[in-house]
Amino acid sequence: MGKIKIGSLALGVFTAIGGFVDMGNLVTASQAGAQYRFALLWTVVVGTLGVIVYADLAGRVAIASGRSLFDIIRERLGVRLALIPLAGNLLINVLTLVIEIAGMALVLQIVTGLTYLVWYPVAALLVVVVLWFGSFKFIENAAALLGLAIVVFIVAAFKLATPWDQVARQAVLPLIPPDQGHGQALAAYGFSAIALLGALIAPYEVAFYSSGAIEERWGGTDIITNRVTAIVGIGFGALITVAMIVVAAQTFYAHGVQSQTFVGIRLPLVYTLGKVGLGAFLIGAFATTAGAALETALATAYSLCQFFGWDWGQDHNPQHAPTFTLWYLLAILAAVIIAITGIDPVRLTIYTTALGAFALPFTFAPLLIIANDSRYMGDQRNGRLANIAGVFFLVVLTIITVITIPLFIMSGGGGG
Amino acid sequence: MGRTLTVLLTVALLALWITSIAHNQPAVGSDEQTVLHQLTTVAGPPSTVTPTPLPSSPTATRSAG
Repeated sequence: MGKIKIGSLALGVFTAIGGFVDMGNLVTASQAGAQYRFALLWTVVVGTLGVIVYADLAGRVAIASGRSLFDIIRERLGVRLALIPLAGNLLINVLTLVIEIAGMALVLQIVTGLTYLVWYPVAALLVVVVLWFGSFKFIENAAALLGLAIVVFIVAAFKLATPWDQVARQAVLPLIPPDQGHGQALAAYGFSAIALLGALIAPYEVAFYSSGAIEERWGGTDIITNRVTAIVGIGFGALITVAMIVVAAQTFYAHGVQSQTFVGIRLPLVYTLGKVGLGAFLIGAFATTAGAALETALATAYSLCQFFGWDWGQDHNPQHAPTFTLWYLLAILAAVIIAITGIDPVRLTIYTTALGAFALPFTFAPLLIIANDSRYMGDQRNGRLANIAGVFFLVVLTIITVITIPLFIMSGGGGG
Repeated sequence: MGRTLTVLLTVALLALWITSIAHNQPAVGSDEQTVLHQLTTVAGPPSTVTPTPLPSSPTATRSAG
């Protein structure tokens, strides 16, 4: 492996860490720690292993076939059947875009004291400007590297005298708290687990990752880069999510205080690290939500253009890929219209991530079918281990799909 | 016709935006100040935090954002 490869590998890992965290992680992890202490940490382990398996798979499909995800899904499943994952992805992507831009605007609310609704169109315009003028590399790297400031949660977790033995135990043992073990409380616990899982495995991440492999012209020699980026980058990103849960547990839960607002997420950091904690949170939260907004807008345009065979690619001039540009502009406009109704961004985040978890099998099942088709994969076809892992997580996700709506109803709209 | 519709839609969106802003003013940090006050005065310095069971009805603060 040459010097340049090591550099791009390191960059890939760093961007995966910064790019893994978004509005969904910030909200669901903070609420999980505040409400259930460490009792939902096992969800992070399950979700992280699942996203590693499917990110590696999506990258490998792109490398082996040289073709985009929705192009192959349409060809392999036929237009009618392939419309199901496409429609699901588009709906969740637009909702995700609403909450990620809201995350940017909420950070501006903390800084200025003006309601996030004033800042929402400004944040949306910033996303448009970066997409219009920025290259794929710039978008992928700049926001994700700035987003590394969010590691402040790890620093805070160590400063809070965390009982790491209990953290480790509850990360591998799904123990339901005794007072949450029945009725509506159990349903709310289950729904929170699904929302956290949906935040960890957001559909746009897989579509963006796969399209990114083609944008960057990954070839056969990048199989290792793909795997290391998926495992190390996403793994470290998951550690940040664990730290978010721990920090909320050691502050909000420990003292019986709950703050169900986005701006409240910063308070444990202010309490633990003072102004440095606040500054790192503001930079990290703005950069990660901005990065996710950019990726989601692109993932929406990627999916549509790949499905219908239109020209796509962020490195194309907007004049050379007008349809691609039009779709991400329309997605952002739709997000603005939904947001300015004044819908609660925190509740919408929880519903969107749960809906994302609900819809995941509709994208992952075709991906697994394609990964086993030697016409597309050649000698990169799924091996036995990859199939066992892929099927295991598909079964877990299908169970989640079946129980999400009943849990939502039983918990009285998600609890909280 | 198309131009009139665009103008009407733009005006409707602006009206919706202004109405939402009027109904979503941040609570001048009062909820957050209460939470921070509870953490700093009740809990003491961060390194001395020891978890206690969550009361059955925790102090909850909620507002948009």
